[in-house]
Amino acid sequence: MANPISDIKRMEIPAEEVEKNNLEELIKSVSENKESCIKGIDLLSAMNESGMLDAASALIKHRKEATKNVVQELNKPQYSATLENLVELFLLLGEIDVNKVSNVTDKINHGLKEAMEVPPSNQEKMNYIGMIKALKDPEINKSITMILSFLKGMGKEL
Amino acid sequence: MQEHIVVTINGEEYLAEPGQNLLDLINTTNEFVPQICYNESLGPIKTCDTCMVKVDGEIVRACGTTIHDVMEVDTVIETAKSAQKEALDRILEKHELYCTVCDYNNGSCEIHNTVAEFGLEEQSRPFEPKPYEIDNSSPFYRYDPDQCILCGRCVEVCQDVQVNETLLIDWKREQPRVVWDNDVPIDQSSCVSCGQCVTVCPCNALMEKNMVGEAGFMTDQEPGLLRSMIDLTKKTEPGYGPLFAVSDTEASMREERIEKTKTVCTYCGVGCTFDVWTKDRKILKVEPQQDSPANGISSCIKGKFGWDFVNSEERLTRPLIRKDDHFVEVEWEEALSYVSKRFNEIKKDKGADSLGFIASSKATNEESYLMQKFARQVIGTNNVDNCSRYCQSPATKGLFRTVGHGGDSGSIDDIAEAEMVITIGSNTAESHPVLASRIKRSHKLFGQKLYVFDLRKHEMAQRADRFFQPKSGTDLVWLSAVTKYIIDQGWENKDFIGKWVNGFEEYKESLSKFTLEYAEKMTNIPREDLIDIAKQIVNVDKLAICWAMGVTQHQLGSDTSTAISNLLLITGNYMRNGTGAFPLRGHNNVQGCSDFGSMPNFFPGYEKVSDDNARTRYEKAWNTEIPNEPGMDNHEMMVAIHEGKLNALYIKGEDTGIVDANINYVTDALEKLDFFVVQDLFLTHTAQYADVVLPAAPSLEKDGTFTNTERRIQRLYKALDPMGESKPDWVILKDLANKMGYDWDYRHPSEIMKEAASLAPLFAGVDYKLLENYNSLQWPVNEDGTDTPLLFTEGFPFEDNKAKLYPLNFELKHDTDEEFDLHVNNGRVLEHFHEGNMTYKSSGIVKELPSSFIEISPELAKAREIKEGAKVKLVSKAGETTGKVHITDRVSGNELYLPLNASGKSAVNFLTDNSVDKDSNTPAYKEIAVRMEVLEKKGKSPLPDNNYRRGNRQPQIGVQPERKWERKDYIFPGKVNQNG
Repeated sequence: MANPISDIKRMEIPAEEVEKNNLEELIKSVSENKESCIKGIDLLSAMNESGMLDAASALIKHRKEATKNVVQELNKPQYSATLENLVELFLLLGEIDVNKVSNVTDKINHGLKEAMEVPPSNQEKMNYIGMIKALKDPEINKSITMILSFLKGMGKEL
Repeated sequence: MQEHIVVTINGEEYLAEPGQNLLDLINTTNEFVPQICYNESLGPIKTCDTCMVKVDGEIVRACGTTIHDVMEVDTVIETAKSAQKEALDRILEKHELYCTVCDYNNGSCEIHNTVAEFGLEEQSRPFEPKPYEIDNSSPFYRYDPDQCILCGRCVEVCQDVQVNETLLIDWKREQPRVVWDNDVPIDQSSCVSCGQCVTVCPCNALMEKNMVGEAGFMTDQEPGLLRSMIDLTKKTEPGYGPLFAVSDTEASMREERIEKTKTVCTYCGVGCTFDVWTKDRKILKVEPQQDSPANGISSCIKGKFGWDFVNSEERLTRPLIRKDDHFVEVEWEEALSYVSKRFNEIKKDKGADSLGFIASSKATNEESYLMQKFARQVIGTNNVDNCSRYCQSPATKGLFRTVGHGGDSGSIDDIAEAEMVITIGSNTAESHPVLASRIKRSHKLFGQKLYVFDLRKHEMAQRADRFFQPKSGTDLVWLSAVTKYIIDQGWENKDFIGKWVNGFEEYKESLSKFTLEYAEKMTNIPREDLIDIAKQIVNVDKLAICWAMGVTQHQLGSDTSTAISNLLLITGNYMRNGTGAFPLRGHNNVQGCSDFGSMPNFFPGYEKVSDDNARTRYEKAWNTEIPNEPGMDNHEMMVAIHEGKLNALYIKGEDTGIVDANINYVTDALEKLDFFVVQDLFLTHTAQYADVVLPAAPSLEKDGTFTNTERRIQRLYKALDPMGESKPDWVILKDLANKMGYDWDYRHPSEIMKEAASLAPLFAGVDYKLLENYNSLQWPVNEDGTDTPLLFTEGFPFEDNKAKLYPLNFELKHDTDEEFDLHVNNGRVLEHFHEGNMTYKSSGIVKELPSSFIEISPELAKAREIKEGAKVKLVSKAGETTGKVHITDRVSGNELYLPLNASGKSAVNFLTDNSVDKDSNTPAYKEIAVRMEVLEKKGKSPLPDNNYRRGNRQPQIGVQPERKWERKDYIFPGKVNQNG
């Protein structure tokens, strides 16, 4: 004889057992992923030393407010131009011929290097005549020609 | 030989079939043409204008062009391209692209993908917001007019695929939009929440509420902030290139945490398949696929939105053992040891046949196979049955008698293809919604004749060409009278009968009783109507008959099913596509549960236990002896418990204490058991009587196969882990068998199927490899893996390959009388499944339909002076029930309708008695005479205001793009560009 019943006495699993099971699961996982765990700990420790960990954790905890603040701020009219510039600038980068630029920067770098090599005592004040004379120096002449060509090319697009 | 037409596309020649749609042809080539409103399942809608191409010098819509003659097509010429661009620009004027913070950004947004593939970089006209609010009134989905591009796919699917006829586009407004009924909130409309509009929406305008704020990484924000983020997204991503780079990255990140798993619906027998999207345990959405064999892109409220039960807090998560007046949760080890010990004791003391097993039509084929194997091998009894005893056995019986296979003759496609469909005792639109839609579509668009026989004027009856209301339980009479009339007129299909049918003369003799006069008297269908029915039947070439519980749940259920098959044989309506017998199966796996042997008289594949050849095969494979006498069916088990002959019962996934007839008698029996095990998701009404309750896992938490009403075997894949300590039924059965000393070592259901296929010839070639993803097999399956979508093409499975006509008699078995003057009919409602153990766990469904009700005709309400919401008590010879009244002309006169979705005091089975179908022991649920006592004369209606039954359908064909083109502000995109 069995009457219908609906009361259920739930199984109470002692907290220690839950803890034990969880730990076992964790140990298994740690052991299977030993290397990544060690690297992870390294990363955490580095972040902690630099104070980044605190900052990151605070930011994540308050991410909703943070997103809101940033998004609302960025949506203000005064940033409109900045944002557009950012994007334009990004697009602009795509159009610059990096090979040529690097050619030019090589030259500039070399010029800087030479300039730095001249001891301060040798940096005499140059007069007008001296400047004209200097144009005869083939290296200086090459540089000036290049700068003039650049100005000319840019003028064509203006 | 079919003629082909040469079509030149961008200089290449292709062969087209006459009448083929041009866009369909283009899609078979490598050419890309944008096409946002076009959907293969829906066909051309012609609203988005993006598929513009140049045909013989003129710019036209590819989707609106039919190939009749040789033609030259250019899809890339400047004029075509700029027309396409113009159309895309118009779409982007209506739809704001903020993909990264959009929940629909899952790689399948058709606007996103089209714009990207077309290579559109800049928007030439800005997005224009529309003056409408989001409609959030439905519990299941929401409509955002601001994102809607008015492609009309949702309208097309609602009008002509689901054929619920709720959605329209109001083209007359200054700003057109999709409207529900005559422009009411979704919740107040005739919307049945089938969700198909959401499935076909190409963007985020219609979206499942479970997706909103869940699918994306950055979409769960307050509305104001979301708006700011959208604005910001647009500022920082001015061209579409960068925008898509970011949003595509985000979309692929989503794949990391959203799983998409193919599954088979766990509700009715149609066997819809779909992908279910899950994020951890959350169910985000259900997405039917074009490749879904039974349903295509279709679904109903339960399959699309009724999955909350899976995560219900009421789920059992540990085994329970009865201790005095309560259950105690125990470990599996303890529960299984206890069950094993008690089963062994009872078997030893009282014999194997003192134990009984009831399998579940909700569980998989593999689990049915293991249940009967457990009964036959581990216990040694044939006392194993399933719930088809409550519904489907009579149909199976009728078909076995006449045509030799107990299943649908063909596929759902065959029902759609028939010239005429007759439904008998089937509330198809509510019980098999997706299948009903196929009939509704063929009837609406393709001239299919629909004749409906039912007590109630339900939706199918309202749509039918002819609707008849024969007196309850007399279908056999009109069927036989119409058959007799056809033979008397010499209209029978003589060639077919001569070649394929035995027993004609004897059968013809047996019909002598069924004259038109007799039929008119017994059924109340006038003689002229019977003649009209006969004429209509012989006038069509392809007839399909669908029937359900209104036929089977009677004392003559098997005979009436036989009469249907006789009529089909006489008129030659077997062996061809578009014809045949379709007993619409009620549960997802009621077909498969019987197919795989959980029946007292059959092994898997319907081989009799008395067949020495078959029995020896199983005895050898299982190394055991099996009794050669059939065991007890469900009904006999209940009687045997009362008689003290059955002492232990194991019920898997069946709420017998609510769904069996005469539940007072059944629950009395359950109380008398010495030992009772129930395996279920919940502590059901039945489980409350158990000694041990084992927590099972639902379909989403396991692998396996289901077999739908088309005999179609389909795989379901595990989408979630079983909740808590619950386990799939096959694992529980395996563990229990092993506990009882056997060595069942199945590691996966595929191994169980392999064993079943090796033993049952009907499934010889069934193999999981052939069932991968959306592939399916319709039994019989030959050893080489070929299946049988259409039965009987080579003849009937009897000795001489011929079908048999089966003579029948008729006697009216039940009626109302002076004391019990009302007849109670009962059945399903659309929203809930059966008694509602699963669907009541969905708050959305409960909001649509919170409880059961009693339908009463306006005439009866007037006579008894009661109003909507009245409280009444119904009293039958077996018991009584109380409930609230809903007055409707779906029922007439002294007919009442009591939906099944009630437990507690309203359950219909307090009223049903022990009378059964004489041939199959199926309870005669539909034969209840009651008297009604009025408790309260009026009250609050049990049907909420937001129920679809109160809506106001707006039938039309398709979305009517002509009305868009007639608008003054509409300019054909091709024209804009040609002129300027």
